[in-house]
Amino acid sequence: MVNDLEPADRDIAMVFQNYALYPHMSVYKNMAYGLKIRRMPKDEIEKRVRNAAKILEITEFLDRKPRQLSGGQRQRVAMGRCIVREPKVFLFDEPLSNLDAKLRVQMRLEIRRLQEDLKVTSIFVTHDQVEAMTLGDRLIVMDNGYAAQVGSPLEIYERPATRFVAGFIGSPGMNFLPVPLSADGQWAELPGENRLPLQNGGIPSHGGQEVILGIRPEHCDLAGEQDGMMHLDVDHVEILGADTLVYGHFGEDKTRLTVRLPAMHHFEKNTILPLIVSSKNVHIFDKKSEKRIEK
Amino acid sequence: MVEHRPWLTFLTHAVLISGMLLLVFPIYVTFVASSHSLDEITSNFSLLPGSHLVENYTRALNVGSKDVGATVGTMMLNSLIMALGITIGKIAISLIAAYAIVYFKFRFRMFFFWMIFITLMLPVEVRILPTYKVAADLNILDSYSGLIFPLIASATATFLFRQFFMTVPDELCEAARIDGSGPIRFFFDILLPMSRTSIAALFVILFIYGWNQYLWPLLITTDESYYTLLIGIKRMLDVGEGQAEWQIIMASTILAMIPPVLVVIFMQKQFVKGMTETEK
Amino acid sequence: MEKRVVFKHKFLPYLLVAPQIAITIVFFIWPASQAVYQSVLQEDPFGLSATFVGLANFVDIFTDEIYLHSIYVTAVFSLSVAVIAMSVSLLLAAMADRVIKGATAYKTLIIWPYAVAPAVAGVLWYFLFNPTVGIIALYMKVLGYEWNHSLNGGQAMSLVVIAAAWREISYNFLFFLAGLQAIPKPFIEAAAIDGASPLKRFWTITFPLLSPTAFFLIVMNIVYAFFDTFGVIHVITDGGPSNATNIMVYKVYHDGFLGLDLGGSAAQSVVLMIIVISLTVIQFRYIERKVNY
Repeated sequence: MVNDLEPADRDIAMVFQNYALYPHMSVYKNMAYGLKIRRMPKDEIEKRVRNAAKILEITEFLDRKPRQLSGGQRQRVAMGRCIVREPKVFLFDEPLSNLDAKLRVQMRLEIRRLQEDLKVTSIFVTHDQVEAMTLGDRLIVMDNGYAAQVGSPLEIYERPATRFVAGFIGSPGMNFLPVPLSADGQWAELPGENRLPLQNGGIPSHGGQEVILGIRPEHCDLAGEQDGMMHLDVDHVEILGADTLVYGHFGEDKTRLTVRLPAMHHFEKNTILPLIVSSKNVHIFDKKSEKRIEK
Repeated sequence: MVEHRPWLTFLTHAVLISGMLLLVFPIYVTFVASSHSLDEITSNFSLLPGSHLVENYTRALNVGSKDVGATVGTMMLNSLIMALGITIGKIAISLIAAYAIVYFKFRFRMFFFWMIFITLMLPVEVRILPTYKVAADLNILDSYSGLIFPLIASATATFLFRQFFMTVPDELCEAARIDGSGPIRFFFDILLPMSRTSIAALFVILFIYGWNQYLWPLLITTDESYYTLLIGIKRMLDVGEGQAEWQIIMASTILAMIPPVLVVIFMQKQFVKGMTETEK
Repeated sequence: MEKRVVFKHKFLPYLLVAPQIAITIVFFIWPASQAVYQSVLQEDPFGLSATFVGLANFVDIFTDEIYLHSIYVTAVFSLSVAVIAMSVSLLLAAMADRVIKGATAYKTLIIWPYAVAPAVAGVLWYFLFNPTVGIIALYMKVLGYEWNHSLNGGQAMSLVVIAAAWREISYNFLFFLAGLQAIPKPFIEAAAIDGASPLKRFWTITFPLLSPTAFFLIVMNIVYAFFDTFGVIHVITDGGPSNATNIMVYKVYHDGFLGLDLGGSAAQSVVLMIIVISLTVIQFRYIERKVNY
C-alpha cells in the first residue's frame, strides 16, 4: 500500500493550493531542491530545471525569489518543481483557486496543454466544476469523503448518479422538483395540472410515489401559449449576453425554477412564460436515497 | 496632527527634548568624568570634556583600576564571551526544542512544554543558594561554563520560535517531504533560513540580556580573571575608606554601555520586534 | 493549535528537547525544589544535620521585623518605580505620537537607555549623587540641602527609585508609543470635529483605549522592580542605610549568600516564588484577554 510509504518514496509530485514554494530560495533552487536531495548530478539537475523552465516560460525568473513573482508565475514555478521530478503521478490540490478569474482560465488551458504534452497521470482536485469538466478525462465526484460517481465529464453531465452529483455539475445548478408519478409510472405530475410523459416506458416500479425530478436550466425552452407545460411567473432576469437566465415560480405551491434561454431576452417581472421540457432531458431521483432511478 | 496649534507643537517638542536630556544627562556627566583626571573630578568638576580621555581609557583597558586585579580589556572580553554564549546557547537550544514540540508527536510532549514554561517563574533571584550549590557541585564556579550554562534555558525564546513555526504553512512541510527531505534536512534547509528575522530579533534582546547579567556572575566569580565588566565596576567602587578611582570607573562604565547601546541603535528594527514579540 | 503535518521519529524529538530540558532540570527545577525542601528544615549551627521544622521558618520570617520592613520597602520601591517610569514615559509617548517630523529620531534617542544594565544605571546615578564628588549632590549643598544617601534612608530610597525608573522609562515608552500608534486615527479625528480639546481627547478617548497596554506595563514594571533591580540596589546602597532599601530580593541574597542562613533564606525564596508565579499568572491572563479583544 502506498499509505505506508514516506511521501518522498511514493514517486508523486504535488502542486499545492498556496503553492508552498520555499520563500527563501530562488526559483531555480525551489525547482532543484527535490533533485538535490535525491543526489542527482549537478548537470542533470541544471538540464531538467532549464528544460522545465522553458516549457513553463519562466526562464527569465530563475534567479528571483517567490515573493517577487505574480500569482500566475508562482503557479508555474510550483508546476516546474513537479515537472523536474518526472514522477509517475502529479497531484494538483486546487491549484487555481488563488488566482483571479482571467488568469484562472488561462492557467487552466496551460495545465491541459502541459498534461497532454507530458502524458503524466494527473490527479486534479477542484471545487470548480468548469475546471473539472474541462481538465478531466475522468471525474470522481466526492460527496462527504465518498466517491459519488466516477466517469467521463459527459457521462456525469448526462447521467448523474445522485442528486448531489447532478447539482454539482452544471451552472446554474439543476432544478429539483418533488413530483408524484402517475400510478402506472408513465407520467410525472407537474405542479400546475400538467403532465410530463416519461421516456422508455416510464418507471412503473415507482408508480404512484413521489420522486425528485431534475431539470437543467438549459433544457427548458420557450413554448407556444398552448404547448406550455409550465407557466413560469418571472421574478428576476439576468442577461448574460449569449444567454439569459430567468428565475421564476409556477404552480400553486410556487415551485421555483431557473431557466437558461439562448440569446437575449427582455422580460418584465411577472410576465408569464410558457415553457416545455423534453422528456429525454429529465432526471429522476429517488426521494429518500437521492439516487438516480433508471427503469 | 489633527488640527494646527503652533504652541502645542512647540510644547510637544519641548517636552520631548527635555525628556531626552533627562535620559542623556547621567551618561553625559559620566562621559565627561571619564575625560578628566581624578583630581579634576574630586576638586573642581567641570561639565565640559577634559583632556585625559585617551589616557583614562588606555589605562582602563590595559591596566585597570588599582583596586581590581583584572584589566577592563579582560573583563570586557569576559562579558562578551558570556553575552554571546548565553545568546547563542539560548537561541540554539530553544530552536530545536520548539522544533521538536511543533513538528513531532511524541510521548510527554506537553509535559516537556510545561516544564519549559515553568522556567519563566523561576528567575535566579528566587533560587540563589541552591543554584549556587549546583554550580559548585558541578565544579563550574569561576569558569565560562558556569557563567553561561545556567542561564541558557529560555521559555520566552522557545515560545517565540514555537509561535513562528505555527505560522509556517503545513504545505511547506508537505512539499519538502515530497521533495524527499527528512526532519533534519527540513530543519536546516527550510525552517532555519525562514526563521532568520526571528533569530535576529532574539539575538538583539538576548545579547543585551546576557551582557547585562549581574547577580549570577556576582555569585559565582571570585577569581578576578573571570570577572565580567559589571562585577569589575562594582569592585572598583568598593574601596571602603579609600579614594575610588573615579576616572577609571567612569571610563569603564562608558565601555560597559557601548556594546549593548550600539546593538540597540544599529539594530533598532530587530530590537523593537524582539521586545514586542518576546513579551507575548 | 497543532500542526496537521508532523514527522514521525522514535528518538529524534527527545534528542531535540534534551538540552533545554537538561538545563531546566539541573539549574531551575532541582534548585527550586531544594529551596522548597530547605524551607521546612532547620540546620544545626555546624551544618551537620537538619531537622524537619514544618512552617517554623515561615513563621520566623513573618514575625521578623526586618523581613516585614523589607516587604514594606519592596512595596514602596516597586510602586514608586512603576508610577514614575510609567507617567514619564506616557507623557513622552503621547508627545512623540503627535510628532510627524523626526519621530524616528526621538524614538531612537528615547529607547536606547533600555540597553543600559540596571547595575550600570546604578553607577551613573550613584556618581551624580555621590556626596563628595557627585555634581547634583554638590549643587544641592550650594542650595542648602544636605544630600547623603549613605546616611539618610529616605534619600537612599529616592536615589534607587530614580536609577531604577530611569532605565524603565525607555521600556514603557516603546510599548506606550506602539499602543498609541495602534489607536485608529478616525476616533481622535471624530472627537476633534466634535470640538474636544487635545487634553480632553487624550483623557476621554486615548487613555481608555490605552488601558490594556497600561495594565500590562504595570505588571511588567512590578516584575522589573522586584527581580531585575538587584544590581541597582547592590551598587548604590547595599540595602542600607539601616535596611532602608533592603528589598526582598536583596535580602534573600544577603541572608543566604552572605549570612548563610539556609532555612530562612529558603523560606524567603519560596515567598518570592509565590510572588513570581502570581505575577506570571496575572500577566498570562491579561494576554488571554488581549487575544480575545
